[in-house]
Amino acid sequence: MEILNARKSVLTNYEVMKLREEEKNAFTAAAGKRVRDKDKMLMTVVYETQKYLKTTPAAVQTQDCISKLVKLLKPYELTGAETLQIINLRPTAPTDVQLIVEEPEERFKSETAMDDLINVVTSTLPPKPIPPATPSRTT
Amino acid sequence: MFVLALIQDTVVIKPHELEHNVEPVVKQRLNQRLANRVVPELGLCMCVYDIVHVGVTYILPGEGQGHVRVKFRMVVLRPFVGEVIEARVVGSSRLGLTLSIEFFADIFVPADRLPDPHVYEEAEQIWYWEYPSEDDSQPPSKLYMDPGKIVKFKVVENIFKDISPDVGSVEAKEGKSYEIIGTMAETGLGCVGWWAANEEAADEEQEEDLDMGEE
Repeated sequence: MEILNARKSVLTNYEVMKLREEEKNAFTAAAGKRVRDKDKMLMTVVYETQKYLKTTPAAVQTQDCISKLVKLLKPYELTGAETLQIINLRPTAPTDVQLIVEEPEERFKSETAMDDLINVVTSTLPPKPIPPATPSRTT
Repeated sequence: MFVLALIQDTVVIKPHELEHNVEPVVKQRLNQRLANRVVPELGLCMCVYDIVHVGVTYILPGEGQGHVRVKFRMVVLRPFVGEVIEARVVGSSRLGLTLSIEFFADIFVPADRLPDPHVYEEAEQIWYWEYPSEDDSQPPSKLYMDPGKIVKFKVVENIFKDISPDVGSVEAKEGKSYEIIGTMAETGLGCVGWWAANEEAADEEQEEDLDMGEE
């Protein structure tokens, strides 16, 4: 086996989730006969990835809203990796954006620029599914 | 978090499968071989994305199966350094925290990369972030990072280790062929609840931390 290009391109969580769904459907259709032991690894990883991605904002995203967001993010001059992170994490607070964007102080000169960015993100991408409540121990 | 890798490989097709369209068979073979497995220096393979090129099928003398050279793209878990990911705390020890994203659980945040100042509670085996309160008379608040909590971490390093398959059971348990090292010592990282804007208490903390971050 040869690896020709280890990083041909990056995928958003949404794309992986869509692919997973197709994979699963194709599999259940084909596996009418029998599921072989060899295929169990694939089924396991498909199931677990799906389980994780269902808890992320990717669960409710659509192709339309992502392409719309990418267009709207153009004026902010973000890098590919930063755009990817914004789609995957859907930042809703300035702290989230500061984490994703490198050198936020220089990139967002005015205070309102970051708020605008957050507004764009929250209005284009649907809110993520509510995670199961975890017991809080903060005092 | 996920990347597409272009890979070339030779796949064996059994004689009885030669009559069918070769692509689904190739895809199935590759998935059986690679799905949920770690390839050194590449990452954790998830599944085949698509087949880019199927070469000519060769049948070697003395056997009936076809050997076909294929180029394909694979979905691989390989977060880039600096990527922020949400995960669940699954383990806690003196050395640090173990995090899981359901399909991959070899994510480790060493103790020195936890939010500072961090304290380990020996009795309960959990870490907390000693967050200083505004009022000096009040004791600092303890923000716990116990198993089950959803946290955000930043990727620091991807480590690959060559684990030989015939090591003893103890080594096999501890040996990780692929491990992600993360950090939580930055504003906005750590439990997602700490930074949630809808909680009043969290709100105050957030503002304070913003000030701290700008200094």
